[in-house]
Amino acid sequence: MYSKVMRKIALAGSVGLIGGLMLVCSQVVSAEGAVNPADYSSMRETVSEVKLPDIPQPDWLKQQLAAEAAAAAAAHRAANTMTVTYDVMTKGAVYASLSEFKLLANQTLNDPRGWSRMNVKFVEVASGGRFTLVLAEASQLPTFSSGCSSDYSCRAGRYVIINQDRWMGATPSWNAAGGSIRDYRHMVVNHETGHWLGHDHQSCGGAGQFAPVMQQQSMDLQGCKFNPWPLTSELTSSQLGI
Amino acid sequence: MKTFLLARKKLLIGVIFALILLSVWVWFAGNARQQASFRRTDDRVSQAKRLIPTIIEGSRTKRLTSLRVLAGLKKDDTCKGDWWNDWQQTVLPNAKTGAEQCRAKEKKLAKVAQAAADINDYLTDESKVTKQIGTLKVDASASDWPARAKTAAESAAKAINSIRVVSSVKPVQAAAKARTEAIITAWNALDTASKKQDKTAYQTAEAQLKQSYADLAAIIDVSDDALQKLFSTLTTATDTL
Repeated sequence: MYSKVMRKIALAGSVGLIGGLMLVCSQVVSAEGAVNPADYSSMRETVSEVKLPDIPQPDWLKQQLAAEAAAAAAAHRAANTMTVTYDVMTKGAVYASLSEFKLLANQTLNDPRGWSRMNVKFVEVASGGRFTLVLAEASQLPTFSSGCSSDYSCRAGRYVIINQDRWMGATPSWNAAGGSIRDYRHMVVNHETGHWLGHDHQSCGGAGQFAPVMQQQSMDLQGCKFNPWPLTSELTSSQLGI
Repeated sequence: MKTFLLARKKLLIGVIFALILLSVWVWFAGNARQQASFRRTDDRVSQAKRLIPTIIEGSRTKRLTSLRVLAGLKKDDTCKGDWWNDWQQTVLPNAKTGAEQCRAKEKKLAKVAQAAADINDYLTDESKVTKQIGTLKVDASASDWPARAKTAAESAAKAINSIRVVSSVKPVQAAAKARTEAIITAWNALDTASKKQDKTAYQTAEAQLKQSYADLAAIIDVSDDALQKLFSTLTTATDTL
């Protein structure tokens, strides 16, 4: 009796096992997600190898983009320009044309080669400017400070003082080197204003180089070339926080 | 006549007996042949069942080999047997059942083999399209690579258009053709904008060109879809085996 029951159980178990195996075999291919096309076709592999490298920009486009970038930079500068006011006075017997002095000084201060490269705009006002630009008789220079000489221009506190003699005649060394009076005037206004902006004197960076505008070019070029404009390295100002 | 027959009674009995024996032997031999064909069918069904798991396992080479072998399990008509087997089946239920079962198995096996053959045909013809897509691969080491890339796209489009493929590959062929032509259109737009030195048009064309290369991935979707459908047919056929 017992063995009959065991035989029946064994038979039922075998049938179940075989049936299960058959079910597994038939469902091998139909199991969820069993077939990955990439296991049979090389299409995916091939397509993924086709990529477009960066296309080199044609010259005309580079030029257009550079021009646009420059214009954008200029616009940005214009949008972020600091305005510095100054007033103008004379001291002593001044025979030079004051109107010409004002005009030329303003042109120098706002020249794109000058301090305006720091995004600064210099505006002359009637009074109460942040500094005072003075055209002074030579003998009046020492009255501003004991450190000022009647031979040269000077800066004393808020006063940026231009020696009339230098304004009108430059220096012998400048003239001997063939420098123009206009360039000298650029240089002296930039140099003295540079002191107000916070700069000390500089030395020549090396023979043959352009002199820093803060070098005392009227006295000694030290092997440098005359240069009326601030070098890029000089475009800072402790006075303005730049 | 009667005398002639009576005189040769033994001979006649012998001939009749021999004929009966011969008939019995032919009958048994025919049945044995039919049974052998039933067994062959069963063997081929077993072979198919063994092959089916190997289609989804192992390297690509092994899978493709299994598919090819499965596709080769062609239909065998010997379930039918000899003419008296058909007669037998009309009077003997067991004989009829055996032949019907055999034919049913052959029919199922034929479906499986056909489904595998369809997949093989698909893969064979799709590989011709894939080969042309491969020619679009850009070698940026040459200084004139943009011009070469455009030429390669033009050649590929022409080649794809001329390939003869089975119907299941036609959607892939159409997708490949459309995407390749889009690449050519984008290159042409870039060249035109460059000649005119039109920055806006150039940048638009450049973006479109990058997109057209990225859009090649759409061919994969079509290919995957086609293969999934073919495997689904194979799965349905194997489930009934």
